[in-house]
Amino acid sequence: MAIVRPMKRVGSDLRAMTSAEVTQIIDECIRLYGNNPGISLTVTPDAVSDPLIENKLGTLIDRRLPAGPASTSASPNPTPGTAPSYVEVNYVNTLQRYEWGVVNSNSFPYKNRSGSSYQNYSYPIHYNAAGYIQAMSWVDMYDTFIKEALTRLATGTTTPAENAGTYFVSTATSETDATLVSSTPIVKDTISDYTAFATGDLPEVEDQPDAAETSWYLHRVNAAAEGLVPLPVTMFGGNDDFKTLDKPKFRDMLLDLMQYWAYDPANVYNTAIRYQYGTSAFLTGQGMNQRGSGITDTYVTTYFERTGQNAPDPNATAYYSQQVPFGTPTVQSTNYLGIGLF
Amino acid sequence: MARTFVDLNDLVSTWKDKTNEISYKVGDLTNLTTTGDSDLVQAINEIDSDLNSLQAQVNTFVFLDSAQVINVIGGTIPIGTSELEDSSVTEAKMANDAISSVQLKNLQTLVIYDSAGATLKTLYTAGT
Repeated sequence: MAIVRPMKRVGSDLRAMTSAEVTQIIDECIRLYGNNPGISLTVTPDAVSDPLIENKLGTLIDRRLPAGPASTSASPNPTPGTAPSYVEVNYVNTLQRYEWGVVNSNSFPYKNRSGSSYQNYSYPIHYNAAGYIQAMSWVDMYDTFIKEALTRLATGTTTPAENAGTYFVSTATSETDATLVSSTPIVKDTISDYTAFATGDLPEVEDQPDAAETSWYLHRVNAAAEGLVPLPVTMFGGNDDFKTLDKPKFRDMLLDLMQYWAYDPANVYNTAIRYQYGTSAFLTGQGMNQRGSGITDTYVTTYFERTGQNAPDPNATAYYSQQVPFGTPTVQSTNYLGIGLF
Repeated sequence: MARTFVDLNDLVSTWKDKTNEISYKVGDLTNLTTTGDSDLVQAINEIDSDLNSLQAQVNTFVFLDSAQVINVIGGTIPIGTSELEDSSVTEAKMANDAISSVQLKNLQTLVIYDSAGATLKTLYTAGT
């Protein structure tokens, strides 16, 4: 394992790239990943079709407290209504997919380059410690470019330069430097219309959600504008001639490695990008970073008994008791979309 | 092989056999290739005469030193380009560590720099 300095052509000579130029290539890795993420998230209620390359992120639960069923009596003292139970809506809408596995059946790009645009090219050459020119190995490529790019992608920020192609959630349907993945929310936070329960005739309709609800949407960070990308020299063809890799081929080479190592089906390194929903404590425990706004579940937990008759009919013969939600809804739990390296 | 003698006590038949044996050892004079072939003395003397004549010729030979040899073949010392046949210098004739960049035709160089621009190594090769 080694971080090396690939060589580029300067005039008719070769020169090792500077650390700034290596960083430019890492920036390009992030940009390429931004346009073709190796780990994609989509919003769909559909079940997983291939568990080897897909999985659903954890369930997000929206709770609200409705009224309990009304107790009815012909006398003025009905049995108290039973306590209400929470209405729970489970959202299992976020599908995580490993794109390299979808297209390439998990094969390692170094061994599966025969069909690639760079099939006759080595990885970039470098001048090794022994004083020889040699091609970078896939380990060198990972250590020099890919590992750093994946590490930067998985931070808690959402800027194109650092996090292109990764995801975050927000309550808005439009975010700067990001693309809305779906207009279907990944989850909603609904509350009961507790003011409606406080007044009006009994029996109340048990579930009366407030019209005011909050939705969270999934966004993908856009790729940054293309910057300078130094092109490395490689060994080419059967004679192992030196040849500068052109930009399209170099992009293909980097993107394949980025997508593969973001997936890392063989679990070789701890830099595979993965997403999950969880509380702040959970994500911290997993070594994950929060992405976007917190996904709250707001509801009241208290209720009180209302009694009444089928007024205003003075000849009413039905008397009611019903437990109805009471109080101000407060945030009971907060989850986040987390991103981490595994 | 013992010499053949005729003893006084030999029988006539024995005498005859030994005489024939001596005749076979001398050989048939008709097979001599010398000019004089009527008796052995003539033949031997003829060979002796020829040997004397050859020795006289050998005595007239002159042996050349190395410079005289080079002079005979028309070359110079030290040997110049003209004395070497084209494409005749083989790998075995080259001493180790004997060739430098100045001997390369249409010299081409490839310089390898570090990231700061300092030369790490310069490679030399013949051009086209």
